[in-house]
Order: sequence, then C-alpha cells, then structure tokens
Amino acid sequence: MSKDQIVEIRKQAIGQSVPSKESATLLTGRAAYIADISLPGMLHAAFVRAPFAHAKIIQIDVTAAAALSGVELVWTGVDVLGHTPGITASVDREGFVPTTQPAIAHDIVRYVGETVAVVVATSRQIAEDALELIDIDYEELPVVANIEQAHAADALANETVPNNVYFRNSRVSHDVDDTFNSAAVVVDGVFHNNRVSAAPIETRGCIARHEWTSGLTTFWSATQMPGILRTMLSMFLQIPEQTIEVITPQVGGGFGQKAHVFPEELTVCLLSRELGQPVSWIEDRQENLLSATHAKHQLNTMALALNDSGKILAIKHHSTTDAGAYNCLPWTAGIESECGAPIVTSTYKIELALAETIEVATNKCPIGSYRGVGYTAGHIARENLIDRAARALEMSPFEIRRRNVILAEDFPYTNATGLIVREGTFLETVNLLERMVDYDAFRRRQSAARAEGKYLGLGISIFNEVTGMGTRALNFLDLPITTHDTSTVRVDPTGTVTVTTSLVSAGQSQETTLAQVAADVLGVPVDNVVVRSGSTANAQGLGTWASRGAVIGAGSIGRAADVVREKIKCIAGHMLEVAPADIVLENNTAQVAGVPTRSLSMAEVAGAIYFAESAHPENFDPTLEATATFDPADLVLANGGHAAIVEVDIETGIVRIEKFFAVEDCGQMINPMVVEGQIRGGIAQAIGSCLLEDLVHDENAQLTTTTLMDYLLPTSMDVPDIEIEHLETPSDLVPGGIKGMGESAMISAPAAVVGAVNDALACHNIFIQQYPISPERIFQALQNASN
Amino acid sequence: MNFDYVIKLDLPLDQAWKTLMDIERIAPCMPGATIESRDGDDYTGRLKVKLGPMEMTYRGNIHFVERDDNTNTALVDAAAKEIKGRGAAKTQVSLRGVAVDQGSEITLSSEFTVSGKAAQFGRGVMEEVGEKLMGDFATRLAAQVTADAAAAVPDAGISANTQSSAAHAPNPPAVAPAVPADPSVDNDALDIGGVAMWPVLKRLMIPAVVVAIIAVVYFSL
Repeated sequence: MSKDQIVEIRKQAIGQSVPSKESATLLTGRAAYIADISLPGMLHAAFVRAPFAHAKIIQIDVTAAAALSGVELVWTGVDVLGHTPGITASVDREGFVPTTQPAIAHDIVRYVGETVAVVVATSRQIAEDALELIDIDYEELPVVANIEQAHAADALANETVPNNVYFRNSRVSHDVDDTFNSAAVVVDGVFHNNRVSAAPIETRGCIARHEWTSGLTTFWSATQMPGILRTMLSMFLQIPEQTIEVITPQVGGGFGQKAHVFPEELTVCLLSRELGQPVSWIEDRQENLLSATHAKHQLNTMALALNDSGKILAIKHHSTTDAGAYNCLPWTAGIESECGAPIVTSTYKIELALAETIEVATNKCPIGSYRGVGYTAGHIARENLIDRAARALEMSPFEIRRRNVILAEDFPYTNATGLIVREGTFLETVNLLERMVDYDAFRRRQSAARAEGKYLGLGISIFNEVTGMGTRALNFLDLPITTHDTSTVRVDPTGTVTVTTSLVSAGQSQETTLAQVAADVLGVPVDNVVVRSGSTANAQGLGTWASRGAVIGAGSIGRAADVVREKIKCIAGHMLEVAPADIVLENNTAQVAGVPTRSLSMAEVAGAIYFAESAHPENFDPTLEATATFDPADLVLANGGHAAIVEVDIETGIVRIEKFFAVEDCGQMINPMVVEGQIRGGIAQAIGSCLLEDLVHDENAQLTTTTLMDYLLPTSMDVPDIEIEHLETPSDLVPGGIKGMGESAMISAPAAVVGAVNDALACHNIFIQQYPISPERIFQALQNASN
Repeated sequence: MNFDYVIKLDLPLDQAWKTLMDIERIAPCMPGATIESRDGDDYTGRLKVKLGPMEMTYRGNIHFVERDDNTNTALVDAAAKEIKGRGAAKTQVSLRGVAVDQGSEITLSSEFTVSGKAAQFGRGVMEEVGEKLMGDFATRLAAQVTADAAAAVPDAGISANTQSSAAHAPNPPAVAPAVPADPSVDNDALDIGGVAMWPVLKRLMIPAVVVAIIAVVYFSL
C-alpha cells in the first residue's frame, strides 16, 4: 500500500471531548520534565555567553575556573573544535548561503549570548561560580545591528555570508504594474514585525549519558524533534546512529522553539563522552531569551490594488527577514519570509502577485521557528490593508472579504503562487464571524462609545493553513524534504492496545487524541489504548511541529492499526466460521456484521493469536503488530478566522481586549476540547506578540530585554473571553477526515488584534505598522495625527 | 546611551576645576570606585556596582584625551571590562567648567556603551542606575571639593542637577548616599537593589492588588 493510504475508521471516540489522559499527571505536578531528571553521578554544565554582538576572542584563561573545587572540566571552543566543526545548516536551493555555527565559538562571537566556554561541575552553582573565574579578552568588531546596516554591508555580520545575504528569491513575479497604475484603490504599507521569543515556560535543557562499556549514548532533550536530533548528533559528532537513543521527557511547551538542533546539545553530548559521566544542562530564562532562537522579525512592504467594487486585483509583497548570525537547523534563515511568500494570497482570489523575499545576516541570535511560521507577519499586513481598502470604499470589512474569498464553485482553485485549493469554508467563516460579533450592533455601539470619548475597534482576519506538513507541503514551500514518520500499533496478548509513535507531545494532549484514533480503528475503548512516544527507540520520524501531529498521527496509526485489524478479522472469522470480510471490530469485540451476538472479545481473539496455534488458519503469521508511515497525497488545508474587539484608551495608550472570536474548520475534530485549548493558547500568544512582547536590541545589538520583567508575556489578565465556533469540512486525504490546526491562532489572530486597534483609531487616520503596539507607539501615533 | 549632568558648586571655578582634575582625589567620590595606579595622564582603576544580589566589578583605564586648564575643558576616555567576564563598559566624558554667580558649574556629557550582563537588564534600569550613581557622585564630589577648599568656604552648599536624555519613571525610594569621612579609605559600592527592584514592583503591583481584593472578599464571606 502507498504511504498516503487512507484507512477506514468507524468514529466512536473521535469527535468526543474525551478527558485528557495527561491531565492527572500535569495537574498534580507529577510530570517529569528535563530538570526533574537526576541520574547517579550526574554533573552540571553551564555556559559562558558572549557579552558582545560581534567580537574576536583574543585569549581565554580558564586556569582559575578549572582549579575551583567541584569543577570537573572546562572547555573552550578550541577544545570542542577537535570533536566537531559545529552545526552546518543549509537548504538545497541555488544561491543559498549555508553557515556553520561552532558548538562553542572559537575565534569570533557573532551574537550576544553565543557560547564561548563551558564548565562542568558537581553542581550548577559551582559551575556558575566557575564561569565568573574565566578571563576572556575580546576585540570588538563592527556590528551589523539591523536590516538597514545589513543592506549597507559596511560590515559583515558573519564573514561567511557575502553581502550579509543568505538568500533572495522571487516566488512569483507577475507583471502587476499596469494593474496598480489603473486601479481604483491602492493601499500599501511598510510593516515592522517585532522580534519575539516563543518563550515556552520550560526553557531548553538536555542530559547526556554515555556508557563506555556498551558504547551506548542516551540523550534526554526537551525537544519537538527527537528523530532529527538523533540523526544530527550522529552526523555532526560522528557517533554511530544506532548507539544513540534520544528520549523526550514531559515537555513544557515548545511552540517551534524546541524544533531545532542546538549547539548546546552537541556540546553536552560530547562532554558526557569525555567525562564518562552523565552531564545535564538546564537553561535559565536569560539564556533562553538571549540564545534560544528568536522569531518573526521581518520588514514587510505590501500593496494591494483593487477595483471600485472592492475586488483585489493584484498584490505586491516584499519581505525581509532579520535572520541573525547563523542559519538555524533544520529550517535555516528562510524560515519566515520564504515560507510566507507561497501563502501570501491566503484565502483570496488574487490573480496577480509579485512576491519577493530576502534573508539578511545580522549580529543577533538566529531566527527560528515559532507557531504560525511564515504566516503571521503577512497576515497582519494583508488583512490590515484589506480593512483599509474597505474604509476607503466605505464597505464593511466582512463584505470586502466576501467579495474576494475563493468560493466553493471555484474549487479546485489554483492561486497565483501555485497552491491548489480544493476545499475550505471561507465564505461561511466570514458570515459566521459577522454573526458572532453582531456587526451592525457593534458599529452602533462603537459610535455611541465614540460620543463618550471611548475608542472601540473591531479587527478580523481569515486564513487557511497548510497542516499535517508532509513531503508535498514542504515541497510547496520550496523545502525539498521527504517526510517519513512512523507509528507502531500492537494489540497486546490481553487485547489491549499499545501504540508507539515518533510524534512527541509538548502539551498538545496527543496521548489522548492519538489514542482516540487507534481506539476507533480497532473498535476498542480509549482507555484500552496507551500511546507511547518520546523515544527514538519507539519510532522514526521528524517530530511534532507545523500542525502535523493529528494528520501524521492519524494516518500512520491508522495504517498500522489497519494491518493488525486484518489479522484480527482473519482469526475471528476463522473462529466464528465466517469470512474475515464479514467481521467488524466494535465495542471491544470482533463480531459478525449484523449479528452482534456472534462475537469474540478482543482479549479472546488476541489470546488465541498469541497462545493458541490450534485457532490459527493454515500458514497464519501471528504478528499482532505493525509499523507504518503516512505522508498525505496532497496539502491538507484547514481554515478559519478570528475577530477581536478592543478598546483603546487614548489617554494612557493602553489597549484592552474586550472579546475574541474564533472560527475553526479543521475537518473532523478528534477532540473538540483539545482543539479549543489550542485555539485559546494561540490567541494568548497572538495578543502577547502584538501588544506586549518585544526583544529589544540597542544600537550595538545588545539584547536589553533578558528577563520576563522586560520581555512582557501576556498573563490571564490580558486574555479576554474567547468565543469559538466550528465548521467541518472533512479532509479526504486523511483517515477520519482529520486536519491539523495547532498553529491557527498564531497565523491569523495577530492580524485581528492589530486590525482592531487600527479600526479604533481610524477616525484619527491612524494606521499602526510597527509592533508591538505599545502604549508609547499609540501615544506617538496620536501625536503625529494631531500634528 | 547619553548621560548629561550639571554639577553646581559654590566655589570659584579655578578651585573647583583644580580639584576635579585630580583624578586620584575625586575617584573615591564615585561609589565603589578605586584608583589602583597612575602613569602620567593614564589611570587604572576599578568600579564596583551592586544590583541587588548581583555584584559587578569593572576594571579598566581612564585616559585624558584632552585637558585645557585655561578653558576649563577636558575630554576623558574610560574603558573597562567586568572582571567576571560578563561584559564591558566604555565611555567618553567631556567636562567643561564655567563660572556662574556665586560659584561654578561643571557640565559632564558622556556617551556610554555598556555590553553584557549590565546592558541586558534593560534600558530603564541602566538609566536609573546611571542617574543614581552620578547623583551620588555629584553629592560626594561637592563635599570633597568643599572639604578641599577647607575653611575658606565653611558652609558651602551644593546642588546637583542631573538630566539624562530619556524620560524617566517616577523616582524610586531614595538610597541615602553615604559620604565617607575619608573617601579613599571607606568606599563601598552603592547597592542599587532598590533601584533595580522598582520596575519589578511596578509590574507586580496589579496582581498584588488583585490578590488583596480576593483576600478581602474571601475573608468577608
């Protein structure tokens, strides 16, 4: 069977808000995160990090640190260079400039926070004390602090990146000039998207244990991609891959930040081999904000040309990513702008498009993935320009979208960037959102409030999302990667089910949702299924990111369970003296279709397979487990929309979000409660990234927001009531009609937040294009408007 | 980052300027500062700063780029490394003295570059710390100058007017500057914990109020 096979599922548990199997462990505080793991003889590593954004390391004196009682080893970049050149990250595209980031910098530091030395000691405290005894002389080099300086190229952020350009591309280049020149309405803007951190509550961390007797290395890491990490440890450190097991404990949030391979991971693995003892590294918050990947930082210039009835005729998009000093692995500097260009027209019928992208090197932490990769910034620009066009045409923001969305009658619709849209409830989403916000009533309330000096605003955004990222989706995004995730399903001798998968959970309740899928394929209760993940001993795969868990999980578990199901039907048919095709599995039994009284329990069938050869047909292979991969035949597109109502206090500049609305169409939901949890969490992040969060660098590219005192995360006080409605367009590419949806709110909700503020202040002709929208920026905008 | 300060002294300009140019004498007026050695117009010294639980000691050089005692102007370069390897600080200070009614005014304009740990605390803290340090420096300098002027001006009053280039948060609870009887002997670093904690308190204020309200509601049930 092909890897995109869609197996039949009888929905019982699927679609139910089955209580999360993880809840008891998480809510009682019994979950074991990376920092909870303590191994006999475990040592602790701490890193010296560069205080300069760009400097030559002149000399390092580790004598005093090495002499401190309790210190086992001090390594500098030169020491580690003997073991590995570091992390080389590239993508197979013509003209792309790869980089190699040393595991520890040995000659030049290229961003504040890059590792310069590591101390291993008997405790973290001693290791940190020893860090302070390391004497380092630097010679400062010219700093490339921003996109402007990168373009000027008076200095190079990384001398291996010519002209400070990693890559430039033109995804689509229709001739749009005539259309723009003759358009009834042209709206444009220059959007400064802030540099943010995914800021998981649990920071990064890893533990390595090398057993010299067996030659086996066990590597625990709070990662979203244990399979890739294992392969990369093997490749970069020249360790035979079969001797490495990567284990993922409970992960306290990933959001894309933990979907990378980091220099610290290479170093810690080497240290345990050098010392013959387990070595642990747990990142602190300052390190996390300094040197775990940053995200989203872009400068986007966008323009829309419309006719006088509000139809969008053409789009021009130019995106520049401030990508930092190295390519992150595996995504590279292209993570934002390159992934954003192919989906820039989103749910709209825009026939003509021009999309250009460039990624530049700066002396900052590498840019990496964060929920809503590629989508967030472009959505803010496009949706806000559409609102602006609607204002110019005195049209409702819902009506202008109705006039532009791809309609059911257009399917399959090939858009300007080559995406074939086969399905989606775009018009329905617009109409539903309009009802949810009660648009006419809102406008009345808005004018009444305005009369009282209150500024209310409504922002909306609609989207479609490429989910279940498989080979075809990645190739569409110009990432020539083949996916290969496996799951194994075994029916145990007592008739229960054990599933192992390569999809690790960082809090998405996959132990529950994937169990619901397996339960329905095999007709057993969810409680009879356990999903084990989090070890490369279980399965091989790329991991959990890009809304792929539900699709890849349902597909691979479905295919593996289907093989086992056929075995069960074969034996049950033999035992009940009917053809295997006449057997159905439901209610924890194998029964003759239409004759529920003629049935065997799963325990009886499994017992017969494992223990009673006399019950087997001739030449029966009693293997009751199967491993399968899944890679969807085409892109799996989910869709939806968001609306926000805000009040802007023009005296203080503070934005209060009154209410949020979300519409989600992720096909058949496995577990509505889990889907809604994903939406709510994403909306909180959307609010944070638009109104609060900002990684601020000074003119020397020093990060000045390294604690949560200065890097403001949203709290429960910033997140309003969220009203959620569901639409359902089942996918015919995935078993059960399931689609992914984990990123949806960070794709589209930020545009709604920004749109709502701009709507509130539109009466002052204000259109804010720089984020986050801090009180200071609102104050400035009001000042400029009054001048 | 720019800091601009004006120190007003009730002393004749030539007297004030002379004292000011005696780096070894005035260095201890800066809380936590010590001069270790001198080579012509170059000095080596250290400056200790405490930020709550964090203590940072900078060691570096002061160099007179220009000095004109006739026009009462000087340009001083200072570059220091944090001895625990967590950063560096660089500054160029231009000093200018002018005679005013009943005394003199010393204008200090400096451009700071701070790298590493100290910079990472955020601009707000840096500015408040800088202002506090310079405020205390001005107070102690005035006392020193006055002491050097001996009985000539027995009740010399001083006032220090500090201005930095950016807007400030409301002033934190003041930390009383301790002017050592003999500054060269007893010169502890100023603990700026109170300053650094202020932004934290501001952020905590709202939840604290909420907790208080919940507590009140709970206990009144």
